[in-house]
Amino acid sequence: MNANLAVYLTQFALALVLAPLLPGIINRVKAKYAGRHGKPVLQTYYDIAKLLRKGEVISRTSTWTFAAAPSIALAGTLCALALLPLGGAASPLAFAGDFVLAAYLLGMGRFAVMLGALDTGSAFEGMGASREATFSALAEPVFFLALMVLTSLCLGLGHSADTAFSLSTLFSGQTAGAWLTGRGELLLLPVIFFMLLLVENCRIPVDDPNTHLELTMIHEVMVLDHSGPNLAMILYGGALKLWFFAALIAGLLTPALPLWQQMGLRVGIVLLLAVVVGIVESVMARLRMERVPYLLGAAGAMGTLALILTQAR
Amino acid sequence: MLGLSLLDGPALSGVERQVGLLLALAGLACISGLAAALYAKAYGIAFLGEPRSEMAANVHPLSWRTLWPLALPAAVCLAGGLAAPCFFDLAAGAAHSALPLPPHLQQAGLNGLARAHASLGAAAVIGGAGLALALIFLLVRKCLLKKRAVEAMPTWGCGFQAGSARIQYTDAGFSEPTAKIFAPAMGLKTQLHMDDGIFPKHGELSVTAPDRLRSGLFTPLFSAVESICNACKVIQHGKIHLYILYILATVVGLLVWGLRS
Repeated sequence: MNANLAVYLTQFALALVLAPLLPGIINRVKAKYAGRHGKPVLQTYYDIAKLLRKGEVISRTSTWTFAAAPSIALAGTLCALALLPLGGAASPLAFAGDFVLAAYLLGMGRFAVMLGALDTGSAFEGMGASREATFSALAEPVFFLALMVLTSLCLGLGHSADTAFSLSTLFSGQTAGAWLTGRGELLLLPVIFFMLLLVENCRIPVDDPNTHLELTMIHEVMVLDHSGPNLAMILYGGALKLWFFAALIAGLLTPALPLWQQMGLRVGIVLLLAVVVGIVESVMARLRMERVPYLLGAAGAMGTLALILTQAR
Repeated sequence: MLGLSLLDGPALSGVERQVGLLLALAGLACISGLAAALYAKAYGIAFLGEPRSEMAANVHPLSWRTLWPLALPAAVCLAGGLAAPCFFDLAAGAAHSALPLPPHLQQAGLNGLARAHASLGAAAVIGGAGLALALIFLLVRKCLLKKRAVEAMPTWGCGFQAGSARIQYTDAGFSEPTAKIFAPAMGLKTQLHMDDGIFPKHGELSVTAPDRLRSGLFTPLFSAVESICNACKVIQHGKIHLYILYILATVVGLLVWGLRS
């Protein structure tokens, strides 16, 4: 087994094991900000373990769609995560255009959860699905726009079309190196991806995962009817998705160091990002629902600016 | 494949480069997110939740003997996705036979085919792995629930006491947030008339969503085609001697054209 594959597999295993730690860190930071001790950092692990031991209560209105949705969402997120250059090592599954597949795999998971929500026949869960559909439709173009900036950068740095359209190249550490050559426009990218992390994972200021008022929820209201192993899969899938977006930012911020150093640095950045999310959630209020498109619009405008500046060179 | 072709935009120089980029952005940005929203609306509202009509409430599941012809195209679609490289090779071979590449482009064409084959192969492997993983998770869930209580209850929800289609989201309600955002492009008009009095009377809400493509493109286009066709009716009047004159004029015209060439 070569070093590249060993680093990739180690990092993939770390992602699978450590992902539930991220919500724990966020909650602990929020608790500290509020002057409380807060829940244990390992609370998500306890929740998942508890839910896996429980039975399920299933709505009489629902069909197999409701039961299958969490499995499809988790499988989609796992496959998308496998395409990332974890630890700086190229994914063995990488190919030209894999970022399109990664985005669509995440979209498929979201689609399954939306259908599961509509399957219950509840007005609240339908409302959550409707909001999720709207915001994800707006977030997707921003995601592709940011990736186009990176593609443009990679082609500018001399990569061929075979490699420049792969996540393994786009997040292999060259962005951090390019900053040193005076490409200031690339500083916008971590900001854009951080905004996408907040939107895609339904964190404050877009959605409040801790709210108990259904009318203000997006993601949490969609999964109100899930219980037992299915809810465990949803919790774990959510944590993996958070890791996916944090790993994208880590890929932008980590320079092209030796593989084992990159691996440690990337894990550190991912965990640090959880702290940053916790701070953001502590110091910001939720945006009004009609303001969320403006947030995505701002991310899109930054992406366009970065693209124009990259192309102008 | 279409996305990848569009994404080659940055590799081009000058105006083509910008156009390629813009097309890639416009295509990719519009397709995926809105498609997921639309399919969720179409399938979710039509088939899921409480039945919305008496007829829908009285339906009964069909037997597999009736359903298998419908399952067949779905299975073929799935097979098409999982065996995409094989189908691509077949299609590429047929396209090459019909429209062979010039000799100086053949090597580049072969390289492009190899790239596309490799990408489709990897996508098919990941798709297959995703499908297998989903099935494994379903199986694990089934095993976990084997010795535990699985109860069927009414839908849980704040204030959701009895399932009724009246409280469910409609297709208009589902797409309202998206429609509001794209209202300027769609030409969506909302008019709300409310009584401002202390004891308000009936209010009125009117939402109209005109079909912009129909009214802005197809209707004017086909109206113009209709006008041109109507103008051509002058030629068809039923006077035989004039028809013979047309034929004569055509023959003379063809003779003149033939002599000149």
